[in-house]
Amino acid sequence: MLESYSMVERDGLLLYPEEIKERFLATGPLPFRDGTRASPEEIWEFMTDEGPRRFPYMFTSNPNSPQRLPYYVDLIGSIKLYYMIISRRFRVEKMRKLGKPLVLVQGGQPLEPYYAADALPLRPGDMTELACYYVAEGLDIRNKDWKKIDIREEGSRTVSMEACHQITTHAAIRNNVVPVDLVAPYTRVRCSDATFLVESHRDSSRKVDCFLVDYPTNYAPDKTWAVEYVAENIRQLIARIDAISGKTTTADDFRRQIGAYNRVRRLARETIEVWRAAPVPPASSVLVYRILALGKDCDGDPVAAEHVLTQLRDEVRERTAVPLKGGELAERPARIFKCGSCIAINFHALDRAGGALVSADDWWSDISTPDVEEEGDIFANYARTTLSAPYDLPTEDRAAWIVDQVRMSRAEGLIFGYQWGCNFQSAVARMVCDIVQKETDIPATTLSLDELGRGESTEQTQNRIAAFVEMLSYAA
Amino acid sequence: MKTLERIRQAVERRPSELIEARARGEKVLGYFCCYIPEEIIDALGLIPVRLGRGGDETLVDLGARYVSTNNCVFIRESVGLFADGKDPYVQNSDFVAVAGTCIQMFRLSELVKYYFKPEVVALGVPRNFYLPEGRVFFRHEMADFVRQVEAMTGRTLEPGRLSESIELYRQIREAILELYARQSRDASPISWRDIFDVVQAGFYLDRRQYLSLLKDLLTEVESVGETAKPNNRPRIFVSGSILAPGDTKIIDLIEQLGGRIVVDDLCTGLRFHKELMVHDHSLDGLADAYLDRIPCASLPCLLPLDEDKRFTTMVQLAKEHRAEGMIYHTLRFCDPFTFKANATMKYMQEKLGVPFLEIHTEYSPSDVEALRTRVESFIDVIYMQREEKEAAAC
Repeated sequence: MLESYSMVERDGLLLYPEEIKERFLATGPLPFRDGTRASPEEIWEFMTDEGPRRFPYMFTSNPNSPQRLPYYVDLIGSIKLYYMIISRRFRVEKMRKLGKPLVLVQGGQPLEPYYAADALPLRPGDMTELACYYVAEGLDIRNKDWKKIDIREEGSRTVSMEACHQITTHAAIRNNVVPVDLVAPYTRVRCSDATFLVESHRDSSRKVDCFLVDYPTNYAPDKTWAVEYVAENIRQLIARIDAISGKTTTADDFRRQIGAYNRVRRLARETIEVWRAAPVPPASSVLVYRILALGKDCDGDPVAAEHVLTQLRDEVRERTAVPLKGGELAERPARIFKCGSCIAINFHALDRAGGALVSADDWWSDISTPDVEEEGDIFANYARTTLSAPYDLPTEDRAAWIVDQVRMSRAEGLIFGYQWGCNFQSAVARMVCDIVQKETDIPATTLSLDELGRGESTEQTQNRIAAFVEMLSYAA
Repeated sequence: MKTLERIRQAVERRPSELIEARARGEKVLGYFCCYIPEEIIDALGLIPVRLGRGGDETLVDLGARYVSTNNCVFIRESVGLFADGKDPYVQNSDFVAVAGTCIQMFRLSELVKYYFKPEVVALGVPRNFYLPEGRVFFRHEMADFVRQVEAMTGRTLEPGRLSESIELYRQIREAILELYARQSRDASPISWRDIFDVVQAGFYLDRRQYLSLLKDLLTEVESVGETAKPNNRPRIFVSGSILAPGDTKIIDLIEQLGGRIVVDDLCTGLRFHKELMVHDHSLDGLADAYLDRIPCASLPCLLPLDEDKRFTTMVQLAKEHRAEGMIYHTLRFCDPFTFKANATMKYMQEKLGVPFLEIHTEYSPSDVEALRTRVESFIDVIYMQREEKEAAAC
C-alpha cells in the first residue's frame, strides 16, 4: 500500500477510516486451519463495530498505551493481523468444543508439534490475554489492567512474589479462568521461571496435566545425544496431547506441519529482511514485533498466518521499493535492536521518541534459523534445528550472532530488556551488551521492567527509552 | 573435641597446602554444585575443591556489577569471589567445573568464563531427570564431561582409579551419615553445627586425610559417650536454599534463641552425602547414582508429591531425627526453593503437623532483628505445642 491512512479517533477509541474499506474488502477472505474462512466483510464489521464495542481496551486512543493500534494504517494486511489477535478467543472456544486441547507453552518456543497434534497452543502472554477476554469484556484499558493485576496478585500469593509476569497465566489456570487441558512448555533456556511455575501445579486443587519438553542448557552441534533426547521428548509431548484428544498423530502429520511452518517462517524472514534493508522503516515499530510474533507462533493459526504474512510481505516490498516511511515514525528514526525475552517495550513510545525497531533477537532467532529438513527422521531433524536456534545457545555464541544481526540491520543502538523476576536473561544482560559494544561500537543499555501486557503507566520505561534515543540522535 | 579442633586447624592450613601442591605440579579443580562427581576429579589425580561462599555483602555488590540484582545472592557473591580474586580456593583453582542443575549456576559459568578467563567445563543435568531418556542423556553428559576434563588437564581416567575413588567417597559418606545420626541423639556430645562444619571442611581438605579425620571423630564421639544431661531444646529441621560456608545468619539466630538444629537437607549439609550410592563402579553407574540422589529443587519434578524423593525424604528425616519444627530458608531470587515454599509447608504440615517457618532473606544483616523476632516466636510455638502434647498425654 502506497499511502498511510490516519485512524479516526472517537470517544477515546481508534477506529479504522471508511476510506480504506473498499481496498480492504478487495484483499479476499482469511482462511483458517479448520478449513473455514472469514470473509473480508465479516472482518471489517468485527474490526469497526463488534470489536471496539466488546473489547474497547484493544482500540484505546491513549497515545501512551503500548497495546493500542498504530495511529496510521501503513499496511492494509495489518487489519487481518489484528483481527487474528482480537478474535482469537472465538476460534479457541469453537475448536475446544470440537475436542482440541488447549495447551500452555513457553513464550518464544516453536510450536510445530502442538499444531501437528491438532492442539491449541498458547504462550503465557496470549493465555493471559485469553483470561482477560473472559474477565474484562467491555472494560477500558485501565480497568482491564486492574483485572489482570488481580489475577497476578493471587498467583504471587500462592507461589511467590518473585515469580515473573507468567504467574498471571498460571493463576488464571489454577482458578479455572482459562480452561487449559495441558501445561506443556519446552524448558527452553530463555526462561528461569517457567519450569517451576509448571511444577507449582502439583499442589493445586485444579489437577491440570503437566509435561516438560526438556531442552539442554549447554548444547553444541556435536551433542548427538541431546538431539535424541529432545526428539524423544517431542514424541512424548505429542503422545500426551493425543491422549487428551483421542487422535493419533503420525510422523507424517508432524512432517506436514513442519512444512507449513517452514513456509510461515520463510515469509516472516523475507518480510523482516526487506524491512531492515530499506533506507527507512516502512511502518510502525509495533508491526515488526507483530510480524515476528506471527512468524514465530502463528497467532494460533498457521494457515491464516501464511495468508496474512504473504500480504504483509508484498506490501512491505511495495513500500520499501519507493521507499516510504511509516506514518508514525520520525523523519530519520534511530534504529534500535532489541534483546531479551518477554520484552514488548512500548513501541509507540519508541516511535514518538524518534526511534524505530529494526529487529529483536528473541523471536527472530527461530525465524532466521534455517528451515527444518523435511526428509528423513523428522523428529531428529526438528530437534536438531530447534536446538541450534542462536538465542538459546551459550551466551558467547548468542552474542556473536547478535553482533551479526546488529550489523545486518544497521542498528544504531541496542536495548537489552528483562522482566522483574527473570533470573536467566537478566544474568547475561550486561555480558551481551559488553560483547556487542566491543564488537560494533554502538551504544547499548539494559532495562529492568515489570510491565508486560500493561496498557498504561509505562512512563518510566518510556523516559529511559526516550533518553537513550535522544542520546543516539546526538551521537549520529 | 580434639578431632574437631584438628579439622579446624586442617582447614586453616589448607590454602597454603594447595599452593605447595600446585608448586609441585598438582592441579586443582574448583567446582560449583553437588552434581559434579568428585569421584571423577579425584580419579583423574586432580584436587577437588567446592567453590562458593555466602554471607558477604561486599562480594555480593561486587558481583552485581556483572550480574543482575534479579539473581540470587549466592550467584552474585560467587561472581564477586572471582571479581575480587582474594578467595584462596578461587585463586588456587586451575580449572572450574559447573553443573547446570540450577540454570542461574549455568549462567555463572558463562559469566566467570567470559570476564575472568579461567578454563571452565559445564556438566548438563536433565530437567526430566526421573524419566528413562533423562538418564540416557545424563550418562552421555557425564562421559562428555570426562572427555572435556581429560582434554583440559591432559590426564586419562582409568577404571581402576575410578573404582578406588568411588570406594573412598563411599566411606566418607558412610562416616558422615553416622555422625549425623549421632549428633541428633538427646545426649549427644556433638552438635549439628559441629557436623555441618565438618561437612563443609570436606569441601576443601585432602579427601584421604578427611576420611581419616572422620574416622577419628567417630571414635572420639564413641569414647566420650553421652552427656550428663539430655539436650532438651526445641528440635529443628533446617531446609531450603543453599547455606554456603560463611552464611551463618539463620543458624546463629536459631542457636542464640534456644533452638537446636537436629537435621537438614541442605546441599552443603546432609544432602551432599545422603543416598548417593554407586552400585556399579563405572561411569554409567556413577551417572545413575548422581541422578538418583535426593534431587535438588533446581530440577523441576512433575511427579506427585508423594513420589517426589525430595519431599518424601524431608518427611523421613523429620521423623528419624524427631524434628519438632521446620525452618525453610530461601534466598531472594532463589526460585527453585522459593516457588516451592508454600507446597512444602502444606505437605509437611499435612504429613507431620509440625510448625513451619519460611525465612526469605539475603546476605544483608539489615533483617536480623526482624528475623530474630520471627525465630523467637517460632521457638515459642514449639514449646507451646510440647506443653499441649504433654497436657494431652496426662
